[in-house]
Amino acid sequence: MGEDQEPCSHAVQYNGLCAICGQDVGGTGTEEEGSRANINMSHNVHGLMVNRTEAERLEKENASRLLDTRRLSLIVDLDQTIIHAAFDPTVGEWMNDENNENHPATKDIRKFVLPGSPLVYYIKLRPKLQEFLKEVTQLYELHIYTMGTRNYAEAVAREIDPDRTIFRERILSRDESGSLTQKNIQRLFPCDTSMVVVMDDRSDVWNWSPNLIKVKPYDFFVGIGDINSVFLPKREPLPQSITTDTQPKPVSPVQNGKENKDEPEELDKVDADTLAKQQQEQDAMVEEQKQARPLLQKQNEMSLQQNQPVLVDNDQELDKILEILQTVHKQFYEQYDAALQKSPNSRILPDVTTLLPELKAKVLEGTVILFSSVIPLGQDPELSDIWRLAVSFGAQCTPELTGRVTHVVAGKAGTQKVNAARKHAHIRIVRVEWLLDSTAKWKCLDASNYVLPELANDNNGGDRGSIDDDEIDDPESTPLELDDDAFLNGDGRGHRLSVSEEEVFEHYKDVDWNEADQEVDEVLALESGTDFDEDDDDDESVQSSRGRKRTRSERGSDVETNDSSEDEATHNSVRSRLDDRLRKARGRKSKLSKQIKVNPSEDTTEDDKSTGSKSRRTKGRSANSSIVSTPQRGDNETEANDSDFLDDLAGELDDEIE
Amino acid sequence: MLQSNKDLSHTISLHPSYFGPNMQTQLNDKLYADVEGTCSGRFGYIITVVRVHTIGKGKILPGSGLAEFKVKYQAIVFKPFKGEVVDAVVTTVNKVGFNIILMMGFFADVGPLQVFVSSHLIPSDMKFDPNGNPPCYQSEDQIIQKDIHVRLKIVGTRIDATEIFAIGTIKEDYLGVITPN
Repeated sequence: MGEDQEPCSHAVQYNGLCAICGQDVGGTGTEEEGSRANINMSHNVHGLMVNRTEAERLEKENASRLLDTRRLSLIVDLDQTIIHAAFDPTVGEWMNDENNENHPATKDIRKFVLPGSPLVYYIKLRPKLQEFLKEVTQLYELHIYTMGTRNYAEAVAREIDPDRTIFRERILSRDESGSLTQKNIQRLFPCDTSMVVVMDDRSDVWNWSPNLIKVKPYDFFVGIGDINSVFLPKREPLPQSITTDTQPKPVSPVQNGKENKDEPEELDKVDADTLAKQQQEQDAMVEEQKQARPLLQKQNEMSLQQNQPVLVDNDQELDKILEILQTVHKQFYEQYDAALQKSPNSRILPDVTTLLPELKAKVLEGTVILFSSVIPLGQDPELSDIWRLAVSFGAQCTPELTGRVTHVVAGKAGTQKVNAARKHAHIRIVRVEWLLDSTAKWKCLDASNYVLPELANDNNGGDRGSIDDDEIDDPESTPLELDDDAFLNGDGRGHRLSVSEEEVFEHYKDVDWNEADQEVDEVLALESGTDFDEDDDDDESVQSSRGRKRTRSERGSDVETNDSSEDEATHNSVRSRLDDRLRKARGRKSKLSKQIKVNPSEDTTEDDKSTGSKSRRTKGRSANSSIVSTPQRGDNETEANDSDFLDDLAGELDDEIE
Repeated sequence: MLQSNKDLSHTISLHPSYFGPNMQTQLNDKLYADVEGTCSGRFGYIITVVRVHTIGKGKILPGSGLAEFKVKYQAIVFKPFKGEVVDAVVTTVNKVGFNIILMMGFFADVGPLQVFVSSHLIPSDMKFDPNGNPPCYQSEDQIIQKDIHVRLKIVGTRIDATEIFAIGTIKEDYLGVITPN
């Protein structure tokens, strides 16, 4: 083997062994060698690592293979994207009971158990999934990426792909993911994501990746949600406008209880024992679902009103997604062919990460959206899901009503912005669904189907949520109250003046109090900083009247810290420079207070006329303040320099603080 | 030496409840259970115990009451060495599945030892075929897929306290697919 030729780069390593030359490079090897192969590219084999160049080579090979077959990679999420799973035993009963009104919808529910657990999983495939997969495999190579366990993922894969031709073994589960809260394309495609499309019902876990096609969550078992969601960050509740439900659907108390219980734990995700906690949480959820049977409850609730089944199988998402995927694929290979024609040897490939956002941006191009009563108060509107969603689809969002606004997306009627917008004929006032449906269908839908009903002639309760009950009936009266612009904050929360107390409370719940506290602290710190500085100056003048010599050594040390901080400051921004100085000023103050404390005792206990005691004291002091002090043998010249410098510094500080 | 009879010794602690007429069998059983299938860095995998030479006198441990026996036995051990040529069964072309991994190579079992053969160490005329079912490496006259027997040469080993990892090559003369007769 090539041991006698050029040195091996150890590009592929298997459990610390170079897979090319067979040399042991693990652990004991030099740091450089150890860090070379650090990318785990495989779905499920541990111990096999490659370095970046090798990963690139493999990816290039993979890409050319895909190009040859004219396909792209598609990463698919399971839960609520292509299937919906539940533990609720009610499902099983409904499946067996032919007379139940829910029976027809349970036809293609699959059930399975995982080894080592008596738990029965019921999974419902999204309608037309089989056709979808069949079509998509022509164009894409499919991967599963789920936050469920490996066993679960494989069990589901067995159900949706019994002969293993679609996914093969390309399954990445929580067990191998490496992150418990985030999904990462780099985990599978470390270098090149230009041919990868992701399909998921959550955009936050992918950190709004440009490769992502967000799917409307598949919610077949109403009220159950994502059974593996405890492993993901809390879903930011998408604003559901109150007009969503065609039939009033009281939220089941079980659901509410679950949500509330989850909340505190969801916040501190980074804990070391998070996983165990999450597992417990999931177990608790399972238990709850088994006991409480949310579906049965829901059915009972609904049967009281009308004899409608809970399970309705009318989801059309996959058709749309298929269309989108086909478009992306078509565009990609059109561009590829065009590039190839221009220069047959060019390896410049089209990039999904630019293609997809471009396609998206065309959807709502030219619309200017104003949100009203959609984004919770206290949240930075630009960071909210819906804002980012609208922007990623090419809409412009604005916090204020301007002449350019084309659509007002309103959570409810009667807000100040809605009322103001009504005066302009060209502005369409629509419900949130318009935006959600448009982005889901990748088509700017006709706004007239989503017109927000006006409050005055809107009397059927279904279109108005319970929170409207406290609203002022006459929308015209609202603006009068709202003349005070002080209440119109950035995200246009002017209408909040007209909301009920509990709603205000609810919105303040969302305020990040920690952040607010921090802000207050910062302001206080700034103020106290100036205080300190003034004190400092005073003290200094007092001291200087008492004789400069006594503070000389301390100043020496000060100057040194100043010097070092000056050095740092050149690297830092002005802001941090100010911080530095403030900190220092505070430090000086504390030193001085120490000095003041120390002085009387020393003065009384011993005569400090001898230089020995002085130097000892200063030594002690500088040790106290943990600053390496310069030697005390500074002569008059340096002293003068020091004091000059200090005066300058004080002036500068004052300027900056003012 | 690939596989050899080796004289080894092992210390068995036996619970007082086993003291009695069947102690001899108990000790033998415990020896088999303790050592067979284990892997030590020094001797490699202990495949099977061939015979028990001597069982030392039991020594009661103060405090616990357990008795310690020093057993000398002969066993077949298997320790792979660099440069060795071995026959192996391909395992994970199918199991691993993911194309990128496959492009990286395949795994093969030599008894208890798992050997990884990187694509760098597969003859360049063998091409990876991701569309085969199961995916495989293929040349004009040879095919490497699960359960195929290959003859490979070990180019490197790494011996942990309890595990051995090995890298193999089939990119040399007389290596590669063998047909079991």
